[in-house]
Amino acid sequence: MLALIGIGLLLLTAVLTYFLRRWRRVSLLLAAIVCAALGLGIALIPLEGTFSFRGQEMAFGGAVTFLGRSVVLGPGAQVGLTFLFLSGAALFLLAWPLESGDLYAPVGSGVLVLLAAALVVRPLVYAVLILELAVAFSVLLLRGGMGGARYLTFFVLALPGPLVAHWLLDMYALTPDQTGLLNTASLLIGFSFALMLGLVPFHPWVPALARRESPLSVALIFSAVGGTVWFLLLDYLQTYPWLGRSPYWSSALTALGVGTVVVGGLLGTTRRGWGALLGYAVMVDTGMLVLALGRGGAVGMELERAMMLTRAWGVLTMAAGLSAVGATEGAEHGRSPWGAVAAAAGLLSLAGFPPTVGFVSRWGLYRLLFPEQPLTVLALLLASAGLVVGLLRMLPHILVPDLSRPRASPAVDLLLLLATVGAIGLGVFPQFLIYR
Amino acid sequence: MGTFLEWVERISALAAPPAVVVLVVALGLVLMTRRWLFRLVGMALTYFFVGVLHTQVIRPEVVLVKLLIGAVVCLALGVTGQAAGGSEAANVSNGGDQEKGTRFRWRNLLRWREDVPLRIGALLAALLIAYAGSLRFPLPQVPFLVGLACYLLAVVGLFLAGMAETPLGAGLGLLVFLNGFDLFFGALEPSLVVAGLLGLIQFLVTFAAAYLTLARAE
Repeated sequence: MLALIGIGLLLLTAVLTYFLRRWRRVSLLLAAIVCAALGLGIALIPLEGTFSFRGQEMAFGGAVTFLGRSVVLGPGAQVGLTFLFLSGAALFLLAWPLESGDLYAPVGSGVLVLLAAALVVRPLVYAVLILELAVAFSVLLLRGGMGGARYLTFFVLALPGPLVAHWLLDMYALTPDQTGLLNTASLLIGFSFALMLGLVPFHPWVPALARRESPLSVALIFSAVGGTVWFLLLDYLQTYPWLGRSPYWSSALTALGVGTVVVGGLLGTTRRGWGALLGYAVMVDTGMLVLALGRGGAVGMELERAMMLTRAWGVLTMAAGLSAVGATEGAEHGRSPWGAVAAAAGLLSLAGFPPTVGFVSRWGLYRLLFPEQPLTVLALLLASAGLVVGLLRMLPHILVPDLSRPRASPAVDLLLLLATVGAIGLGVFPQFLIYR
Repeated sequence: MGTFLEWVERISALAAPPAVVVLVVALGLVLMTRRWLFRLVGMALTYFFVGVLHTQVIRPEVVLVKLLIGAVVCLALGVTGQAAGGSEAANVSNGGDQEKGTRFRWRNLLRWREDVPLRIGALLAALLIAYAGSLRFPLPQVPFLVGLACYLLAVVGLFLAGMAETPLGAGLGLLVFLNGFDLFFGALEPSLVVAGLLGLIQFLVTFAAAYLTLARAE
């Protein structure tokens, strides 16, 4: 029930912010407050708790039926929704002084509504369809061009896999002796998620999207849409545990993960602009997440969740920094010395450089992998170093201030400072983020 | 009502072979011509004949809804094409007779692309892949000709999206691909909710492609 209330409230906010779009800052602040309240509410309210509505006793968690579909708020979805709403709150807050588009708050809230619905609706076939709707809707945040078209293309191509797999699994339930159906379903689901996550060789949309679009719009796609894809993948693994038991599972994920990290790291050394560097950093981080997933077990899952949180922080900090310094096309903000610092801190976090927050989860992964695969760890470290090389090549461009632009407002400086301090502070004191 | 449905079933079975032929022509038009109007006609024909093939696997009333969705999608594509300047050729110089507004020439009517040989090759490859695929890996729960059309639409959609130079071109490819998948999945999953959501996805993909095109043009 709590999920439905949250989604309903956010939908109402999306409509309200649309009518308030002329007062851009008011609408962004409203969206940020509602998202923060929803995120904290869902994180803190016990799912087993009950409340009374029209004389009926109702549970906060559990399953309810809405429009003939089952809506389930279990522990996994609770983490997913908290992540989604708090990421949304941070994005809207950062967009308040940094994003010039009028539709960021209404479209962003609408995308979050659809993503939240995808996380709680069952069966999973509906979740995939709603995710596609969210992706198509999120295109309205972009400026136009082929980057957005590539993003849309890869997600649409990923649609048939889970839907056909769902039918194959229904067939398998009727004829359990046909194990070939399970193999085909695994292949289809794996292929679709590889497309949506941008794993090598399906990665071109990731840097193409980040290259020319507004950094905060890209950050919403990488953190909220990307995060939802991860949570759905975890849901698939929980619903169909045989997926993870396949003998090829671990080796396939290791190959895909290492491939994505290495290609991202290599391309990261090139000088193709700050936006592209953000895309390559996300590729490296996605590869690491895939590797953590391939390890399986409780430690792998714990690492996976920690990496998702640290990745969101890194992406948001870097995007805010890039937005502030106007490092990508179309930026119209004043100059801020903290922008360059935030962009560098965010990228170092995504590269897993100590003492940033990204290093914490990365260190756990290296320790897990090193006893069995020391060469893989070496490749991962070198790929991460590729991003640092890219940063060093790009840094001079934003360290030289553009004196023709006015000084940014103190609010911009304060937000960037907070994001940077968080990226480093949470790396020094990681117990606040992970070991709870 | 039973007689009417039997009649529709018989007509659709008879119409399946010509429908596949027209589908090939329509997809060739979308793939090869540069002029926006002809690509739109190709898309409209595709939607209509996919609808005809749909009648073999789903209920006629659901097919009507799908045809309606196709009509709205084509309308949106037409408006976008018009607003974006008529054709992709506006961005790629190609002689420019039309732009100069000198005089009408019949040879400009279809305005073929420079890469027509490549695109003809792509269409032939798509036909070959579709035929071989439907023989080697026949799709479950659909007749042979419908399976062939599904493969053809999916492969041509992939080619269109991959070779597109503009967001609208990519959008056309995605819509053709989605049409092929919808034709197949309609037979597997008769749920109206799924059919409705797939239709909604087509709408949003169309509007997303239109938005990306027009925002870029601005």
